[in-house]
Amino acid sequence: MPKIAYYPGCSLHSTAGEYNQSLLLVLERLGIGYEEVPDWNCCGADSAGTVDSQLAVTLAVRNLVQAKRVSDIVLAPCVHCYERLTKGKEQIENNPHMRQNVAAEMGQELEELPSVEHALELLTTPDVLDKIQHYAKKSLSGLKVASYYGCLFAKTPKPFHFDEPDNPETLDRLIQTLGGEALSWPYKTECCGGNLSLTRADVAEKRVGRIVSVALEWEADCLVVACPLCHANLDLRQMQLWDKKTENRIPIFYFSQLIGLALGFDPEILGLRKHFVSPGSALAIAGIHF
Amino acid sequence: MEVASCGQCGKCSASCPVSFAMDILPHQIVHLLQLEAQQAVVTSESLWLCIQCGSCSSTCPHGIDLAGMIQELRTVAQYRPEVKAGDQIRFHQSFLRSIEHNGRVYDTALLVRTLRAQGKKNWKLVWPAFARGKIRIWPSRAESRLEIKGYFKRAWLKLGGKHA
Ligand code: SF4
Ligand code: SF4
Repeated sequence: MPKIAYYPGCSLHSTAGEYNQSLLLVLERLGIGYEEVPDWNCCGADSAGTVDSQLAVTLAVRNLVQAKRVSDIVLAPCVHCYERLTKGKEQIENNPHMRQNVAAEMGQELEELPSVEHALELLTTPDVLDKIQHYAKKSLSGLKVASYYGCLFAKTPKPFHFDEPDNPETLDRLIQTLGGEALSWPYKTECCGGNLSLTRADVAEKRVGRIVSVALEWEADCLVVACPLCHANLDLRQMQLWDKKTENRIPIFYFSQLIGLALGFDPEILGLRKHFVSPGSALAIAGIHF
Repeated sequence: MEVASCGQCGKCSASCPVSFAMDILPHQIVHLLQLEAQQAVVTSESLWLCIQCGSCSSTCPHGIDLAGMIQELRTVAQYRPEVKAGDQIRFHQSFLRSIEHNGRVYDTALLVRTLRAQGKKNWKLVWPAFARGKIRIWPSRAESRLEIKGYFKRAWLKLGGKHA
């Protein structure tokens, strides 16, 4: 497999350090070479577009141009970065007016841009799943996992859907490969309200409360996510909910942490102590000491 | 905008994860746009409660991209004093200021600015987040932040020079 350009994005450099850590460990163990996108910038998230659509595209496209210097594939682990990079690419390819303006602003022709992949996409191709199985040292057998995709597919442009948007199964296939039980529960693609986490905590809290209680009704031992915003919101928000005397709690894993556990990495190295809801109970079910 | 084909089926509102908190529901936004009552839309809180999840656009049987329209309308609504969603607008502006200066988001400053503006409860999350190494002390910066600042300059000028 050729070397990929790795675009961590701002969250993986701060609140989601454990996603970064576990993902890179897994890539290295599986022999997938990567290089960080040279001098990457923030993708602009949802905010850049509130000022100007061209600003939103330029911020995303600059990263694609930078990535192209090291690879034809750029890897985005965050759903929001993934959306911005794919939308930027789509705009340059399908909107000649935008392409012209952005090229003029950046002072360069926008030659072929790299392809954009989400980390979940890259790590669940049949080849990589085989490899994971080959290198696995532990099975997550006994662990009931509710896979949670949030707005991953509703947000991204259609050509970039790597799974069925209404009933995705990529995470479920991964969980089965790792030996766990993937629950077929109804809230896989319910949005967690993460973007309102800081400004309308009341709204985010209601979303999280609902997702957590449904997962518990389905007797899940944990939730697995592929986005730093979902993680921050689902994990941290539960702590606030306890203040309101709700007993409900469920640990939230990044998918890369579950792969890491199966590959035999120590939970500590995978950043599992950084979570607000302790994953201890779930790890015990899979026979992993924490 | 392509709102004419909307038959008011309401699927967008049914799929919206935050419609319960909105003052005008997603299908009502489309209806108001059909009636060319933009004013009511750009001053609504809904415009800023939308989390851009894209559910409405992907379920609409007529392919109406409401999420995209909301994002476009925000550029118009940004500086209306009557807008009811000050916290959300300030959050976006702090976020952008951070990118403008560092090329990346410095979440610590963002957090502090946002929480200070609200002056209330969310503060108690700060210490546990810090203790878990989830808040960095120094910003992560892009070397070409001047180039990025230039992109912002053009965008602000287009908005009438009103700097966030
Ligand atoms: S889903 Fe589409 S057609 Fe139905 S009300 Fe919403 S915008 Fe109109
Ligand atoms: S994009 Fe906005 S309006 Fe549409 S469903 Fe999501 S939150 Fe609701």
